[in-house]
Amino acid sequence: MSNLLTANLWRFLGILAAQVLIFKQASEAIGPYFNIFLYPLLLLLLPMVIPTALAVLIGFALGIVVDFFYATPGVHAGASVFSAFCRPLLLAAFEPKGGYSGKDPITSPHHLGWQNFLLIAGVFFFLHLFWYFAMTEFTLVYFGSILLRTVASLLISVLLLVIYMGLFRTKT
Amino acid sequence: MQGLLKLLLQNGGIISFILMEALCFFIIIHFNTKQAAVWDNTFGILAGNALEQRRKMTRFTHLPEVVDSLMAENAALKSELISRQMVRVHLLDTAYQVRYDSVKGTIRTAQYTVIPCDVIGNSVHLENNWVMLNKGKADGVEPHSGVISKSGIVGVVRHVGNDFSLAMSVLHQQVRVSAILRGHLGSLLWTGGDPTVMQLNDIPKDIEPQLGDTILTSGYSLMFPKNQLIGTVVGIDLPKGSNFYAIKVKLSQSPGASDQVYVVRSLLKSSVDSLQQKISHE
Repeated sequence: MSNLLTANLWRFLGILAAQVLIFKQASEAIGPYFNIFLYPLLLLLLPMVIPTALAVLIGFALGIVVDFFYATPGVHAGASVFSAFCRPLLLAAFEPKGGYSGKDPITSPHHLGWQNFLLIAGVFFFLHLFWYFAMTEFTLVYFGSILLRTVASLLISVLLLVIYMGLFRTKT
Repeated sequence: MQGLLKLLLQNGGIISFILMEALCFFIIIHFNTKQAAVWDNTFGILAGNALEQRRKMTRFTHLPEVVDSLMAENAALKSELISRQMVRVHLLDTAYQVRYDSVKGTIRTAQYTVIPCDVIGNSVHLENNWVMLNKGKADGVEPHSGVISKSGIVGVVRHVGNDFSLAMSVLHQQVRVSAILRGHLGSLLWTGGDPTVMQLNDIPKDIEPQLGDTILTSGYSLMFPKNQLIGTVVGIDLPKGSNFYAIKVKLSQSPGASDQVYVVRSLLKSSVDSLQQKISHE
């Protein structure tokens, strides 16, 4: 249990630091359409069995911290709460026959296989990013622009996600 | 209590989601200038639309009262206007006509009261036509009062019930309206046929009426106030051997088309009648 907690804690600190120190500046450098967001991975990699309410609260806390660095109070928090709420629904929807295997499984290629992992992560990031850009515009008048930015950011974020998962081979 | 707790635990996900998302909305709106502006604008449009719809609906349901109050106001204005026309003082010479403003200076009391009515029955195609009105004795309608509309004359009240009254339409063979054409007194009656055309008799042949001349009420009979529009000349005929024209008058108020009318009751009629009774015996 303590192993799981320390693993998550280190991951939180590492990815959060990378997000606000590196990816934020990188996103600003490559224009308004490509935004690199790796931090939703933290929510995705939470243990599968934790209650949704707890995931939502963690999502809110995470989002607020990110918002603190992005100077957009509530926007990232809203997106994180939304994706944290969607996560169990998503996991149930992509559940393999016979359920998830392994002790304390998390949503990683190690437990799911790359194909399933990319499917779940793709939808998860899409929901998160879409909600984020919708909250940024705060109106569906610019729906086309919101969708375009969502897809562009999804591509680059998932690319980074694959690199990360390939490098660290997260198991817990 | 236990049930509530169980419910919370079972649906903790969705409840916490809604609560936290609401909190995020609140934070977004309060701490981001751009989103706050969008929110204010959207909320303003929504609220404005809702208020506008509500105003339209309430205005629609109040239409009958609005119509009634406008009719009452029209009646009040009309009676003031009529009284104003009555007080025309002739000084020595006809070249000097002084109009007294009866509205400001109370030289004389009102000549007529005006009662707004709705037409609830009407006909134009019979030999003798009648108009039914929705006001009666209870509202101050009396027999021999004139009925006018905003653009012309309609008839003369004949029978008065408590709540309704029947008026002879101007399209009734017995109705005679004393009318003025170019300062000459004539008698207007309906000879049947076209319900928008009446005949003006007794205009002497030494004047020359023109097509389009205006026919006004004389005010002599006290049924109609003076100088109310009746219609215009559309045909001039001088029968052979007659000293009087038979003039066709197109009514300005089409008798079939009047919906809202005013009963005009003379306040001086009784005193005039008592005077006239004296001469009828001589």
